[in-house]
Amino acid sequence: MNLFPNRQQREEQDLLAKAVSGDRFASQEIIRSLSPSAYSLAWKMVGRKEDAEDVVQEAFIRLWKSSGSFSGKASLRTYFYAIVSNLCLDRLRANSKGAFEEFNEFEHASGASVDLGVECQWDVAEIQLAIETLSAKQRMAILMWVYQDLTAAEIAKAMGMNKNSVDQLLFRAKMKLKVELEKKGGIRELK
Amino acid sequence: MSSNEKKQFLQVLDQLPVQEPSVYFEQRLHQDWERTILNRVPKKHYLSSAIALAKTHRRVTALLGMVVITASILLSHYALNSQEEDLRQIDTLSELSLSTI
Repeated sequence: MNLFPNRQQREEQDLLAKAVSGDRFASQEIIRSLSPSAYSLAWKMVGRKEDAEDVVQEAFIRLWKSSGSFSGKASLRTYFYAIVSNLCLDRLRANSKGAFEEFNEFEHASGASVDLGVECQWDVAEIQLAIETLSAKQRMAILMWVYQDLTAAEIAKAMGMNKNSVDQLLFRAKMKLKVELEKKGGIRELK
Repeated sequence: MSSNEKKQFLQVLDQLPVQEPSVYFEQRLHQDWERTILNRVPKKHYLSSAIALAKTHRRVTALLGMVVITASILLSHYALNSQEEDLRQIDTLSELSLSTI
């Protein structure tokens, strides 16, 4: 995280300011640049088209309403994903109460990497089942890490957690995925 | 966390198909913006919009300010000169008319 906004972040801040002051083109640019990846993240998180669309719609309304809170210290994308991820978590929490784990213990070496094997391929159903074994927070953290290329510190900011908890969360998510995929037919290498 | 590790997980998660959003999804996002912003921004507040715009484009505002100041200096200079010229012409005419009489 930067203490002072860089040029791109200042431009994003200006673009958001324009959109909020009624500039149609600025709002279109923001919607076009953020909505596809945000929808994809939300869909992979909540698993239903209608829910993912609702989450993204609500996230944009919050973005317009809380534009003053965007300081430009992180990118607009990170700021927006924070809104999307929180809304996804709220929705999942409401849909499945008690399905949330807390991650305060640190019994694993959280910085260690997890090797899935070289050029592996599984059936979509196997992956789907493996993903479903992850808790909502684990799923969100791993999706943000893989797709949005966010660092643990950025994910922590987006999810309102501390960096150590996110390191732990990511490590557990990767381990769980690996174990589940190995269970479901083992790691197969591509020919 | 190595990039190779991320690549492996990306390869796995990429196999999950994402259902396409509705045809009118993006349009709904634009409508939401209109409802949230255009209804909130009062149309009569042109001055505050102009100030907001000026704050966003500071360099252009400074340039415009300089152009306006230069133009006003040149205009006042011209106006003073032309006034003196008029007075001189009036003097000449009155002298001419007096000499004719």
